[in-house]
Amino acid sequence: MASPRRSWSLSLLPPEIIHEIFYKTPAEALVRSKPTCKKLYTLITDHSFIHKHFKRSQEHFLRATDTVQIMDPTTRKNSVLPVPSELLQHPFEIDSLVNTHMVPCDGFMLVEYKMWKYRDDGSRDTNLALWNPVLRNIRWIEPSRSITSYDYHGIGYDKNKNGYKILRFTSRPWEIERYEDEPKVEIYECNTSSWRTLDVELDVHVNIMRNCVAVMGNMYWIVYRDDEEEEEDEEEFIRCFDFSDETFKDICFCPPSYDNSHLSSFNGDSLSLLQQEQVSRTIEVWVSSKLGDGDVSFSKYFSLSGPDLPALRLHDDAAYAVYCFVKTKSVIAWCVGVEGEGDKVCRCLTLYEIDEDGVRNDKVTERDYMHDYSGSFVCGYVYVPSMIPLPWVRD
Amino acid sequence: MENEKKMITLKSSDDVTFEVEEAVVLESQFLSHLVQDCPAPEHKIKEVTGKILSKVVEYCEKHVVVVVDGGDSSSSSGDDLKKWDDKFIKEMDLSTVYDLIAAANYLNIQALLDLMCQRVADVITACKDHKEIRETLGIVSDYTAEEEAEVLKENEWAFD
Repeated sequence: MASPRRSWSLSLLPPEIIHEIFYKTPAEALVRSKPTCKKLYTLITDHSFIHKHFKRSQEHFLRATDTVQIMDPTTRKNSVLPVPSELLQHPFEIDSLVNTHMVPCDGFMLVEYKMWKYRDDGSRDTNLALWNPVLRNIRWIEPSRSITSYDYHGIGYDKNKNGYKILRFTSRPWEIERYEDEPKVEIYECNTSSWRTLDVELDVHVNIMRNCVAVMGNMYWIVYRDDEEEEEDEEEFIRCFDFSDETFKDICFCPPSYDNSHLSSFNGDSLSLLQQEQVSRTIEVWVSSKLGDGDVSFSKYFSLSGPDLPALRLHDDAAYAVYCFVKTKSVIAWCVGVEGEGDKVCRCLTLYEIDEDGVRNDKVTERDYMHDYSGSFVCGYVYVPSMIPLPWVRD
Repeated sequence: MENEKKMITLKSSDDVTFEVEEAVVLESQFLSHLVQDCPAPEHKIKEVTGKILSKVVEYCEKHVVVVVDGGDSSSSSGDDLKKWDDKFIKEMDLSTVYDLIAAANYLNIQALLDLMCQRVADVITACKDHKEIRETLGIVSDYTAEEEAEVLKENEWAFD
C-alpha cells in the first residue's frame, strides 16, 4: 500500500473487512447493494452472513397504520413507507393496517387480520400473512379448516431449526353445537405448508394479552387469571409456547404488579417488563433471568418516581406502549399521549427516553385530532430488520 | 514526570518519522509486540505511508489520553471522544478511509478499524440505489443487462 492508489474500491478490500463493513450496514442498504456486482451479491445473500447480520442488528420499532413507519430508536430516524398493496387488497379490501395485529419474529411480521371472509366454496379465506418488510416478501398462509373464535398466533422454531412453525390457539373455545370439538391448538409447518392438530390441554380460564414476544424460537405472553370467585388481586404470569416440545408452559409470575405491564425481550435471551403505577406514575423496569436455563425469575432493573412523569398508557382504551433497550439501564418507549385542552385536544405519539434519572428527550412523532384513544391495539412492535428469507423460499 | 515517559520513534514507508509515547504505540497490538520483541528506539513500518501513519498516530494519541486521564469523568470523556471520532471520520475522503482500514488491519488497532468500517457502512447507507453505491465505492459491475434486471426484480415487492 506504499504506492499511491488512484481509485478506491470496496471490492479490493479483504473479504473479512467487507464482512465487517456489511455487519455495520443496515439490512435495507444491503438489499440496495445486491445489484452492484456478483461478488457482493453472493456475500449479501449467504445464509450464514444473513443470520450473523441479524444477530448484530439493532431493535427498531415498526408501526403499521395507513403507512408503515420503521423507527430507529437510537437515531430516532423514522422511515415512512407505503403499506404494501398486497397486504391491503387480498383478501380484504381495506385502506390501512390499523385493524391488524402482528407477531414479530426474526425480522418477519406475522400479520393477523381481525376479520373473516368466506370463499364461494364455503371455506375460509386466509386472514394470516407472513411479511418480511426489508425483503418486501409477503406470503399468505392457507387457513386452518377449523372454525374457532378469538384466535391467537405465535411463530417460532424448534431447537434443531427445522424450519419455522406457526401456532394457532383459541382462548375462548366455542361451546356451540357442532363446534365444540374443533381443534383448539394447531401448528402450521412452513416446510409442508399444512396445519396439524396439537393434542395439548389448554388452560382457558385466563386472559391472555395480545402482545407477545419471540425469544430464541419460543413465544411468550402475559397471562392473568380470570377467577371471579377469588377476591384477591389477579396474579399475572408468563406463559410460553415451546416450539421444540410443542407445549404451553407457565414459566414464572410477573413481579407484584402495577396495572400496566408491557412485555418485551431483553438482551436477546431474556424477557423484560415495563410497568407503571397509574396514580403515582412510578415506573419500574424488570428483567428476567435467561430463558431456557431452568427456573425463570424477574429482578428489578431500575425504577424511577417523581412528580412529572408522563403516563405511558393514558387510558384503558389507549394503545399499548412499545419499548426497547438501547443503552444500559435505559429504555426508549413509544406511547400515546394527549396534548392541548378543550376543543384542541389531540392524540399524539411520543418517544420517551426513560432511565433512573428521569424521562427525557421526548419527541412527538405523530399528532391527530381524533377524540378517542381507540385505534390500533399497540403503538408499534419491536422489530429487527433482517434479510432472512421467508421460510418457504428455497435457496 | 513528563520526562520519564518512554518515547518511541515510528518511521513510515516514505521515511517520515513520528516520536510518540510508548502508551500510544500500545494501542496497536502489532506495534506492542514489535516494541516488546525488539527494543530499538526506532521502528520502520514499511507498509504505511507518512500521510496515513500521521492519522494513525493522531487517533491513537487521542484515545490514549482519554483512557489515562478519564478517571471518574469517564462518561463525559466518552461522549467527547465520540464527538472527536465523528469529526475525525467526517473530514476524511474515502481513499484515506481505505488506506486507514488497511493500516488499522495491519497494525491491529481494532477500535480504529471499527470506526473506519462504520464510516464505509454509513456511506453505503446514504446511497439511494445500487448505481450510486457502485459509483461512490468504486464497484465495477460484472452483470449482464439481463442478470442485473433479474436481481433488480428480486428487490421489488414479491408475493407468492
